[in-house]
Amino acid sequence: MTVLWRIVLPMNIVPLLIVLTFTFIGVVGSFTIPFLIGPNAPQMFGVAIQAYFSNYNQPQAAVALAVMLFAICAVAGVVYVWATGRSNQHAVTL
Amino acid sequence: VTAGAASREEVAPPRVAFTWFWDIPEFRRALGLILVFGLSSFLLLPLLTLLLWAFADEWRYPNVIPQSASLKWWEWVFTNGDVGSAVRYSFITAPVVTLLAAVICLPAAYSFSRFRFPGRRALFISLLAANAFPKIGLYVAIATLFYRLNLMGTYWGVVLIQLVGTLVAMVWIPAAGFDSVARELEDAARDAGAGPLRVFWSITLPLAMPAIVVASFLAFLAAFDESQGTLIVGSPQIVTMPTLMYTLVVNYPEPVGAIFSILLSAPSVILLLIARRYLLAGYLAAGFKGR
Repeated sequence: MTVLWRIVLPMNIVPLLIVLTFTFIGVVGSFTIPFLIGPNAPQMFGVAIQAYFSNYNQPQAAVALAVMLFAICAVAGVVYVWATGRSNQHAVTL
Repeated sequence: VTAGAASREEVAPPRVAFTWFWDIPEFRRALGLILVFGLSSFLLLPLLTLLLWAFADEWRYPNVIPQSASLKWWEWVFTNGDVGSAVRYSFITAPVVTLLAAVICLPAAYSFSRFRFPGRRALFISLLAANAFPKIGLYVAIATLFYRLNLMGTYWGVVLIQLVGTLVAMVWIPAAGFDSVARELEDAARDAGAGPLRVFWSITLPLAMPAIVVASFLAFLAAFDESQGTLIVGSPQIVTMPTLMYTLVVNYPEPVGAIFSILLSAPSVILLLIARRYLLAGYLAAGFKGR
């Protein structure tokens, strides 16, 4: 257990963060699966955005929802960009 | 084996009571097998269900396998006009998107790999922004711009929205490919009298080709499988295969969706089989400098 907490986890924190944030962004912004098999109420963010944009013909409302979604994901997004840039700095000399 | 076991017993710390089974090899092996079976059934059973549905005619609740099989839905899918037009749109958008992505991204990838310009790192990382935000929000924001530009429901609007998803792969992978081309080879070609263009076409490009091919395949698949942006920008005028999938799954009997998803996955499987060679070659090329 000490090995896991003191060595394995700290050494893998960057790829772990990439996977965590990428999954978080993917799930929060998912559209296809909730659109096809999800409930009509409550709707997930992606489905609501698409509904406001196409079905209710309120693109401004859809964009406002999208900005809220961006705000929620911004923290995860910053961590994702930072971690991916860090883990790839040896793949391409930066 | 016995010596190893003995020494392990000597240094082994006292075990917690509930991990006793870990010391019995049979239990350990059984646990591994259970995990493998669980994982593979998690991955493969949905595919098996899909295959069964594609050939099923009637399949109601208590039955484990379909009651009757038929090929009539295959005939329906292959003779349906909407399906035909979706296939046509898919195959006139995805290749164009791949070509455009190559034209835009390959020079960028080459510059990222070869030149040191101000803001290089920031630009390279900022490409990830397309992945760092939920795609659906990005597409809706772009679509409102497209309203102003009269690109909604047009062919080029769909091409542009599909381009968004191809950028990261098409820059990052070729950039790593260009990076892995040994400078010594380029210098040697230049010493032998080759001009800069000749060096690029005869040395750099062929050596980076596996990475470019892999990136192109990924870009093609990203464009071909793109459904959300195409749904928002293209429909109802431009309906590609993934967008038609939504209609087929919601409005038609299950076999139609199953058959269509098999057709939809065919290009991925074929490209993956072709790409295996290049993928291997790409890894070899990336390992050339021991990175």
